[in-house]
Amino acid sequence: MRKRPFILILLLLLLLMNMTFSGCWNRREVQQLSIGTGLGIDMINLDGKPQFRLSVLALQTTQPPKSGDTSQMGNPATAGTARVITSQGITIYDAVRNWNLRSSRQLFLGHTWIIVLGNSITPEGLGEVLDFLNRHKDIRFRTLVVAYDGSAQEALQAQPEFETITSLEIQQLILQNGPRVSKTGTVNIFQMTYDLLTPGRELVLPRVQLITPPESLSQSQIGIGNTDKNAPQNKVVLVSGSGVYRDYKRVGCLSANETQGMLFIKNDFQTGIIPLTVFGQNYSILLGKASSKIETEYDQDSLIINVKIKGTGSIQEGGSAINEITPEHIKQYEEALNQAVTRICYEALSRSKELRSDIFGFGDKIHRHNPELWKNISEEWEDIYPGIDVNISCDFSIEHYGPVR
Amino acid sequence: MLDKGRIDSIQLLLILLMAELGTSLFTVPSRVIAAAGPDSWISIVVVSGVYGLIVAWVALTLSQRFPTQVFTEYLPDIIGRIPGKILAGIFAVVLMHITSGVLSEGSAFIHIAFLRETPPLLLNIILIGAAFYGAFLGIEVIARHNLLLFAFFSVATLAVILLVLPDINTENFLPILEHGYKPALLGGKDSSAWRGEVFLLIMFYPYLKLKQEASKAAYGKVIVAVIYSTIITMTVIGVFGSVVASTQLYPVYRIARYISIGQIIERIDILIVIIWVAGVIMKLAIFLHAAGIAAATTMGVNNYRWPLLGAAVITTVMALTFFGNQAQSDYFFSNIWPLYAFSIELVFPGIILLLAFLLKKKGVSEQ
Amino acid sequence: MRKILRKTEIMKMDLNNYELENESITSSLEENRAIIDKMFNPCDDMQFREFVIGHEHPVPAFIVFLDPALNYDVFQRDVMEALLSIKDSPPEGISNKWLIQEKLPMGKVLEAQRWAEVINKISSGMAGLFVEGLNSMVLISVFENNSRTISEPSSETVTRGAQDGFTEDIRRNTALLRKRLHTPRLAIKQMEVGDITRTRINLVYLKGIIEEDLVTEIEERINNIKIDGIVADGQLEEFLRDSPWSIISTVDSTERPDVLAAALLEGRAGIIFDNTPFSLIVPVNLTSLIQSPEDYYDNYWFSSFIRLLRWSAFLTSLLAPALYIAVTTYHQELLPTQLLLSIIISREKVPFPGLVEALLMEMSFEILREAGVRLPRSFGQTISIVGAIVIGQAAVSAGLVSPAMVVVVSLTAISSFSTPSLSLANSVRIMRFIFMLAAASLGLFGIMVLFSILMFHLCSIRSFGIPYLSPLAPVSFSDLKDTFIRVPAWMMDKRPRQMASNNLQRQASGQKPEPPSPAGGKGEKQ
Repeated sequence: MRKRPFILILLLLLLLMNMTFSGCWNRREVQQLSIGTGLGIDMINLDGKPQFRLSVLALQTTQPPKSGDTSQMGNPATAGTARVITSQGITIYDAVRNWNLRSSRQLFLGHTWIIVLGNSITPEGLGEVLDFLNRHKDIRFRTLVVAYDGSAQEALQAQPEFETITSLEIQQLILQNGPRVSKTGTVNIFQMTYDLLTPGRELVLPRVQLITPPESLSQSQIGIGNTDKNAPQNKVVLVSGSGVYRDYKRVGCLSANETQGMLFIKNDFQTGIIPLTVFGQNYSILLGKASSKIETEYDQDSLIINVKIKGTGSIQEGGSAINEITPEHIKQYEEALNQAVTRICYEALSRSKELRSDIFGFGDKIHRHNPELWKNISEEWEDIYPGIDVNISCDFSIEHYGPVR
Repeated sequence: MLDKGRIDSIQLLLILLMAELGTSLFTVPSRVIAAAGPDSWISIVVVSGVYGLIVAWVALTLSQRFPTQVFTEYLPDIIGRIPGKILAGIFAVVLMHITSGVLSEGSAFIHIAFLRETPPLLLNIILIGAAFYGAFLGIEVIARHNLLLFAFFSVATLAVILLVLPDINTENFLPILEHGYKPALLGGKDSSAWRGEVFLLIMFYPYLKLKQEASKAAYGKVIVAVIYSTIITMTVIGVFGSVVASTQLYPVYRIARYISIGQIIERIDILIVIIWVAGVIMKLAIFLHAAGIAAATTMGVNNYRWPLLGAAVITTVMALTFFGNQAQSDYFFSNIWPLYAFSIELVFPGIILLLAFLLKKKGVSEQ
Repeated sequence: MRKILRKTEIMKMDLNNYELENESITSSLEENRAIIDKMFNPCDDMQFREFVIGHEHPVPAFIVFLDPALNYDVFQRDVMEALLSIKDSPPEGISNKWLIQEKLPMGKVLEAQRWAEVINKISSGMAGLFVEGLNSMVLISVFENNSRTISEPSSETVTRGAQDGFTEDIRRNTALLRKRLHTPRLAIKQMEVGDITRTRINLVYLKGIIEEDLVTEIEERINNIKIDGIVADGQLEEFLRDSPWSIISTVDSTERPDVLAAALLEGRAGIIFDNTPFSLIVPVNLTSLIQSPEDYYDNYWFSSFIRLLRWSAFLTSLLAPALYIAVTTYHQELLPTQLLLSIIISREKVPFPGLVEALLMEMSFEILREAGVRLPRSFGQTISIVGAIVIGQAAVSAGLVSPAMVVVVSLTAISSFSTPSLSLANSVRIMRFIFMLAAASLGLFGIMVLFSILMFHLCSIRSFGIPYLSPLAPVSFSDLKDTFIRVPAWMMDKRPRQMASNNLQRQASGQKPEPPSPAGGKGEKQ
């Protein structure tokens, strides 16, 4: 009988405390937020010290008056959707908080779609970036990471063509259309962490490039309208190829084709077109998901790695005229296809050996399947890698050739 | 008995289970993975499983000798009144200390993942308040709520595991036994400390309706806990790999955050937060109930409510003093806790059981 | 002990003014009339009809009755004509027994001696016949039934299903119940509550299905109520509850005889009440409050779907505004980016924090709802439309609230109407505000903690010994067939375990209908 008032008072106390003590600590009304959809990280030298420059592509929720619109940072044409605002700091989080010196709204990174890493980032800087991205409570592991040859701020300032925001455009280019072309990888923060931390793997980031759209060039050449003064600024993004790192250090790039080869070997190839030339005629083969199998072979002192790639494809476009396709033809196409893919793979391989960066994770493979061997070679893997023998063999079959013969 | 409630064996099993899984499912995997790498399943299944079964056997045998009393009640009967009361008092304080560890773990996650700027003291008070209400209402209410919670808990974890399946890379389970058996077995110490929480049986045994089903509850709990933590730990390893996973304090939460199915099913980390808060409150309520009963029986009062309130307050203070900052509590849970738990869960009840056996002490049976 | 003392005190207060508690009526007609006059004074609707019985040896007599309660046709035909047509008194003289057995062609006629009973019955509408020289009298029921006819229950409407509802007349209500349960097992126990109102209460249950302990428990609780009068079933409900402080009502009320009949079949008891069309059902559990009578009229696929819908609506009505507040002020990362963006844009002009905005809308909705109930029916419609337009549209365009908030509030409102039990829906209405406060101060963490506390509470409360969450916690797997979903009728072979453990089998098992087998079946032989 006596217990009820007792517990009631206790609950009331709890509720009261709840209401009086808190209410301001973590509350942030949505209209006080500035949502950063893209994060660009560069390093600059300021007063002889390396500092981080953070470029945030922040969504704009209000239309600021024209006079107050600082066009210092970007193209005023993008105002109303998102714009880039930068800040600097000794550490990245310092820069994040310094960002608030300028912005009346709290920076919120829970909706960051992409992280752009500029090429000025030093190996130490990349370590800091890795830690920041892992430790931050709002940034998600799924957030994509891309590399840009230049200042990341420029990449974020590019003009979006199909979406309203550049970062969304880059994200969709990679996530949605990347697998349709398979000429660029998909790397998110988790995969970046995984590649950097796991022994025997190296980081390869998709590469963002800025181009001036060829269409606008031809227009100004022809001389329709007088848009040529804006033309250099209307750069758009293109995601193609990848940037290669070795032990936190940016060492070079892979071209689009080399990247495709890498994807074949890493079992990441989704779909894509492989052009062939057979009997002087061009064919397009649409490859479906290819699967690769890496096996390591070790006897005495030579290390051989066998890569077997399998997959199926279909003819999408064949020759200059509609020819009859017989089983014998198919055999020849398959042969040519295997050769083409093998060639692409070897291109990627030789490029990676040039860069001395084990982008395929062969070391990781050895570690997992042959830990004893890995124990001996892990220290000098970087030196051993360029000398290893890799056999790549492909076995593709063509299963369909469409509604015509 | 101070709590008149009666529970059946399934309820007892689930109480003992949630008394462990409430926090261990989320915090322990990374500790085990850090020690044992991809061989964590050996640590969990072999080491913690065997250890858990031994602890369960000791607790069960001891309880069966005194079927109508809780541990702190019959302790004075075995080793004499004064030393018995002193040891019972220490045991009650130890239970409060463990509770405060749970409390600090619980609020730390909320603090780190969500409410960065809210002081942990407030989170502690709120969590312990809710748990106090549950413990106050008695073992039957805890058992009933626990059943519902466990159902939701299982569905949520299962959902997370299923949704993250496409991201599992089987390569991550290799290499097997890279550094031999030693790390794999050593990794078991972290997992074992939590598995051994089945020792709480000595505080809950008298509430069981059908005493002959007690073994089902005790051993069943260990087996189910082993299955759960193996699945979760291996999922974490499969998705993140042992290197990345060992850097994460809350890998399951990270996994839930990582889920993205076709850019549609995303942001379901909320599920983990829900079962974390509810599970921590439940775990706290169970431990607090045990601590309150232990304190009340030691003091010899016939109402456990005030001792319970006292235990709640002491727990909150302890959480602040012993687990004030993250480094402190992290150090405690990785370095001290395994040994501490070993002595409380196995050594202490084991010695008491041995004494009871040698001195031929037995409690009254139920009829 | 104290209770017994209190009981006698109240009894004295009621009748000892007249010092008649145990007195019998006298044989003098004059005296009796004087006593009645004194007792009921002032009472202008009381009528005395004086007459004589018999022609040869006329004996004076009178009938006393309360004017408005009398059915004049019956009175005229069956009482007055019968009495006035008596020619001769029997040789042993007029006795009340003779009158009752031979002269009065009425169904309900009683002989009474004590004043306490006489006064009681006359004030409840019976006519009293006093004859000179007899020290007892006759009470005749010539009650005019003034209650409304059976009509559709207004608070629990269904599209498919029976359309008759209880009325304010207890006899008609039990008749409606009898119509559905043709069995001698249907027990109806009459009790009276309230020393002044003497409200009739019928405890109904099915013998052999209900637990006998439950019946004694309910009877005891009702008998222990010492009150001057009871006018609303809510009063009775509060006296009957197991957890008197709980925000959740552990007694269900219904206006529908089919719901009551189904409850009795499950082993529950009903408390039918005079003067209110609502009858109480005990014990209840949460799952039974989320069920609607319609569930059993419709196809079970559809019913299961609707039930799941109703459960989610229940949770929505409890949590939606709280979640909105929590997500917009603490956990913006949980929203899809585009949605967050549009919420931000819509909230740009709103000057209030999320909590104030939500409270503003919720309060105005609650006021609208209350006004809608209070207003005459014809106005109600207008008000709700005007309210919706004014509060919704104007508030948004004035920049008071954001459109997203309006959506949330209206969703909550619609959801809260889909809970069939009014008492549950009302508890949820209050709890919603508490959840909103928790969400505003600690976000999702606050909601979760409060929800845990609520779950502890729900697990702790009982309704007449039955745990409130009963088929769920403690779990009873065979009873889960009729909770979140409804299995086909031929699968529900057992009654709820908690309520009817002594007579569990509801129907023969294995009654799944099957088409006649084509080979060798009966159909082929014919």
